[in-house]
Amino acid sequence: MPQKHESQMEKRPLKTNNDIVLNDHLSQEFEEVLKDQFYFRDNLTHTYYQIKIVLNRFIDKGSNAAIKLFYKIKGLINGVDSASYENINNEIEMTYLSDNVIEINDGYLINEIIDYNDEQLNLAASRGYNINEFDKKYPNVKTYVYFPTRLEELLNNEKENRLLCRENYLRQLNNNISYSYLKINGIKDHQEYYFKSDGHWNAKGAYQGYKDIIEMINNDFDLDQVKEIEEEYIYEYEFKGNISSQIGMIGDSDHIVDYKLKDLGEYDYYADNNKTNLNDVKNEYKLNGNNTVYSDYDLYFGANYFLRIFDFKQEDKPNLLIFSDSFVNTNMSWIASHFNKTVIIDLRSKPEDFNLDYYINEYDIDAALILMKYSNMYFNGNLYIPLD
Amino acid sequence: MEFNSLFFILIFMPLFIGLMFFIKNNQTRNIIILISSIFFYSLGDFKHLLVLLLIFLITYLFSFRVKNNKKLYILYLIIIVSILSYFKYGSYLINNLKDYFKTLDFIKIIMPLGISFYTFTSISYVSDIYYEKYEYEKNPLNILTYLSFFPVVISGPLIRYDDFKKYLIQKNINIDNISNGFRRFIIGLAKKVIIANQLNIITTVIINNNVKMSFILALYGIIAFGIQMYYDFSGYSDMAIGVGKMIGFKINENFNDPYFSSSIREFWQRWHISLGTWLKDYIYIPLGGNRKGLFRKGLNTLIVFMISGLWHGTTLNYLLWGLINGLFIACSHWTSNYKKIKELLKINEDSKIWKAFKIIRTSTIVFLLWAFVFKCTNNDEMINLFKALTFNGARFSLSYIKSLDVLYLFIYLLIGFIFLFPSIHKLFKKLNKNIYDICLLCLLIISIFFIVSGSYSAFIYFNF
Repeated sequence: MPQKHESQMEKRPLKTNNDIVLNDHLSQEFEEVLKDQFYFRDNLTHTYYQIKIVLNRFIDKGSNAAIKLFYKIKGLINGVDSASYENINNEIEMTYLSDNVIEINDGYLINEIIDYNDEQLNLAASRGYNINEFDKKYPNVKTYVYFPTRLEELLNNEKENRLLCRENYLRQLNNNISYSYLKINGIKDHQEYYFKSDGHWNAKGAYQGYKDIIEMINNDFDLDQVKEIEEEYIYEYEFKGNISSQIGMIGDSDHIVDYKLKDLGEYDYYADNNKTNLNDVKNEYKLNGNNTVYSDYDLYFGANYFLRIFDFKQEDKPNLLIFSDSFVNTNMSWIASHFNKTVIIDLRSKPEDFNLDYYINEYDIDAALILMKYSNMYFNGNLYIPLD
Repeated sequence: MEFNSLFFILIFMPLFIGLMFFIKNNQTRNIIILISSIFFYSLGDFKHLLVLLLIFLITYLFSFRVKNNKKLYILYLIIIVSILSYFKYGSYLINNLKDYFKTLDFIKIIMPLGISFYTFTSISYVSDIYYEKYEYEKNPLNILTYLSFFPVVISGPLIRYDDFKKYLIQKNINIDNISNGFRRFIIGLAKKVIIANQLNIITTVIINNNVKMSFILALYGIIAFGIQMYYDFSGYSDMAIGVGKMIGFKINENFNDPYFSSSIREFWQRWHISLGTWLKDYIYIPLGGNRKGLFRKGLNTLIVFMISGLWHGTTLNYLLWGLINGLFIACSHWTSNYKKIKELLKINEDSKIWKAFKIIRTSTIVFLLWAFVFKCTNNDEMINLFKALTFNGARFSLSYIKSLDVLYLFIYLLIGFIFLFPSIHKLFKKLNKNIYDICLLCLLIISIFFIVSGSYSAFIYFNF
């Protein structure tokens, strides 16, 4: 049997004969290898999801029609206009394609809608408290928080709970800390700022985020004005992102677009202390031909290093520290172009001996920005800033 | 190793059947069965093979002198039941006692796969010798083959040694038997992989995931679990019977359309038949059966079902489950005025409506007991289910049910439900043989398709 090493569809390494070790779980390991290396595996799983999604769509259409009929009959009996029900769901059409993937208007995919529970609300508050403690510990560092809002955060099974996690988070922050967020007022904004089948923002969303962040920081520091887009170019025409990979790569593809900003300036870039070229990093997986286990988003916008440093050599400008996840990959160079040095820390891969004081002092940090997807911002208990 | 694994279907079974077919010497075939059984069993966990060998050793040694020797027979029963209890209930006891005795923390007991089956097989063999039904077997390899026989070692059906031995002496392995056995195997595989495994997604999400359960959702979960139980267990039995047939062994049927039973008593005559007859022959009859009056008959039934409950699971709710089942049957023995009530209500026993009512009544009791005892893993799940069934659960919300991603699986529930009806089976058997075989081939391909696609696991790298 030919040995495949990665699954393009699942973005994960596949089990091969080399993974079989003589132990108590031998039959289980052997079975996993057989399944992973099975002929036409990708086609089979893709078909499985297609069947599932056809069934889900069928059920969705059937149940929606039944509900509409129910309200129509109810309206006729009670003498009420049945349109009142339809208005509720007028804007967003939702079809569950799996337990955590929902298809909304025009084939856009979002993840499951959060039905906040006490544990999540407490976690969000605790994360906010951590940021406040950071701000208190470093009084000379001005702290900012930016929320790249996604539609999932706005929707909720219980409407009154909308944005409750964010509110709980913000309630912990003192007045010194500034915050801003990507304004999503409905489906159209989401479609404009996000990929069809990926959890990350697209170039337009990232640019809007960049603008919001610079405008927010500009209230306290004398930064250059937001830079305009000079050129727009398409990296990829058939991009299917990480949400569609959860359902066997079902769903529409869209383009990956990137922007080149006017007068970005010259800079040095270090990824995990190695001096390199950002464009090289962006393309490293493609160049190495080793891209299968990474998402296309990573492929074009760079992998997730623990430490990235931009040095724009603008001594008169402040130094910035960013705590972020992969959301910053798209616009980090744009943000960094307004500062002297920008240190970006991804707490997901922090080393055990991580010492925050070192980075604050070594790079003479003036401002700190927290920028993460909502799930990492509120619910990831591993991403507290270590302050001891 | 499981029957529904790719390794078994694509490698182990073809190799094994191929060897059995081409080697004509009966002794060599028996050795192949023994080696394959040991290999099959030890692939699960090699250490557990030692327990199987221990049971074999005890069985073999006691069988020589147990005939008419009550003391030795009791000693044997104490030893074998102690071993079974140690592995089956030891872990449960330790979990409950370790708060009081910290030293117990270090003891970890893992129940060997199939121990309940091969200890019962051993008991049946030694008991039959004690009761002089047949002579003991001198050849230890035959006993080891009997206890470890891979088609039935994990989940039955339970076989008696006198039935088994005749196939050790002579096996009829030919193309007809192989193809018929393979047909039966495919049916079992499809039952397990296409229906039971899909329904397991429904029942796990609804009953085990602490969802906001409404009455409708609870009903969906309970019906799905009832059907899952049947397809899971009968599917496994079909596969065992099929593999047995391929190598010339006739393994007795274990299910006979149990969900069409009109009473709990009838249900237990049609569900897991081999266990039912085992309990009757080795517990109910030695206790006196129905020979000692109506009260003892009921009491014996209660005892048998309590033992059956404990055999099925380790926790107290299994004991309670056995007790409830036993009570239903014992009450049917004890209530003599029932016929008078029916006459009073002018119920026509032969009417189709009454028969349908009895079937639905029996299935309702069985399904409810399955869900509460076999699916609920803790008190919270039981309470959640109970609340929903008594209309004290969550409000019905279609959008919420959609968000659980179990509605599309209704199709499998429907297919499972339709194929419960014996008339559908008869309809299929009336098909032209070639068309029937094409249908089975499609079933095999679909089953493999389900097994492979079930391993899909997208790397969710954005949430860490």
